[in-house]
Amino acid sequence: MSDLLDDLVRAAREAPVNHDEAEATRRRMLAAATRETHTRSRRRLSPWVLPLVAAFVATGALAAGPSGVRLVTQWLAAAPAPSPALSSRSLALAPSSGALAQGAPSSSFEDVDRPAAATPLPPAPASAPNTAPTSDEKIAAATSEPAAIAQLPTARASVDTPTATSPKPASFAGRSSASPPPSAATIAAPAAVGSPPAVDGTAPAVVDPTDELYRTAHERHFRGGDASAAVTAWDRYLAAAPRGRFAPEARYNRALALLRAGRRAEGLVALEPFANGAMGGYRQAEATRLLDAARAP
Amino acid sequence: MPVAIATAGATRDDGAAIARLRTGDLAALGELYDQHHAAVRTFAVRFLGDATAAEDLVHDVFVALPEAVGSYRGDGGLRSFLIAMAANLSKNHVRAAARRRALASRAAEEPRPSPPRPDELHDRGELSNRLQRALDALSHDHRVAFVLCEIEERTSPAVATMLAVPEATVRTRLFHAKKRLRELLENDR
Repeated sequence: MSDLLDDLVRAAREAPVNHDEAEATRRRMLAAATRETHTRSRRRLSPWVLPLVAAFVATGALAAGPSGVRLVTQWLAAAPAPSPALSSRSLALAPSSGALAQGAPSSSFEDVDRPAAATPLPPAPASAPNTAPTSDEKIAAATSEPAAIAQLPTARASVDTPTATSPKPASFAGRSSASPPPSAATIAAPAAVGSPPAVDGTAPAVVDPTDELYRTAHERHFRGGDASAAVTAWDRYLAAAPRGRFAPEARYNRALALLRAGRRAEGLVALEPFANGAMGGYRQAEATRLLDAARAP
Repeated sequence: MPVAIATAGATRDDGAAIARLRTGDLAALGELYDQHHAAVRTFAVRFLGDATAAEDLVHDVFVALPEAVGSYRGDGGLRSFLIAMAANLSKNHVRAAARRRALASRAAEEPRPSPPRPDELHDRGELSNRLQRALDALSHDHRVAFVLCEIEERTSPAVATMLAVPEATVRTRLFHAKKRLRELLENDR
């Protein structure tokens, strides 16, 4: 071996390795591994779940008589689609760590679940495409898509009615997706907070003071051009209204802003609850696409 | 809570954690990560020469472990198994790292006298960059053999076991890697 090659090899051996990202990688890795596990389990159980649920519902309805059938029909029309029972198991498997970045409003998104790309096994060499764009390029393309842009909130009177078809994930910390649908009293409760200011000029009955924070953050996110400022603004809104009716959208936009600001690891961690369905399916497809882009080489 | 960095060769409770992982206990995956992430990251950084790509590779290795652990037979130790997984999963990360390196090199390039000054030669960062640029020109198999044998200082038999290839294949790849590297470094003078 030549002297120069010796020097180069020695330098490579002696070069220090920075492990500062170890904790963030650990969280991201465990979340992804949990999703993979549940995806495999769901594939095994899905042929059985729906027929069992249907049989249970039908049996209960028949046992209750005609009124029972009517009630069940109304409930089915009002409630979201039943989730696989495995989602509650995911809460037990996922690590109890604060998934959001430091300084962000805390809410532990511990149930994670998403389909993941297949991974090769050693010692067989992994095959991969030769011309795929880098993960950074894919993230940049995905975060600039029009589909990622959310609309300003308008008056959502339907949320206050007892017959809301799809209750928003206003309260998600520790909430199992297998929980029973909210009752009329629960759905009506947010009305006390007040309606958001309508953009069509009509006077709202009650104005939520946090809506102005949301509007500011929305403005900075979609028109400001400064991703870091957008992150700060989303943080302010979420600190004031961590379980507000716009909190899911704020958290999603915050994740995008983190990615745009170059805070990749934090952004990806923030996207995971959306990808795994913890937000009731809200932005699930977009978040999954972003995470897939990030993981792809 | 900072993630623990296990000392070299730490394999305590690996067997128990692997058994639990095989039953689907993902807490065991976290424990295995704590024990071995540093070694996998060190290999990844040495192999890719890029911290971001190395972090992604570490992530991919441990995400793949629950499924891959079924093929783990215990020969060579779990750490070697993980590094072999990293070598196998690294192909696309190599391309990404090389691309970033090329961009960074173009962005930072400025006129310099050739050949490089002696003090530049002994700058550790510059040495590392030079080696990584040369490694970028090797095939994946040659790069793996060189990094494992020369930089990680593993024996040919151990590398052969890790890669599931004959020992003679490892030596041949190493020979060609060194030959090519010498040529590249000579041209770079």
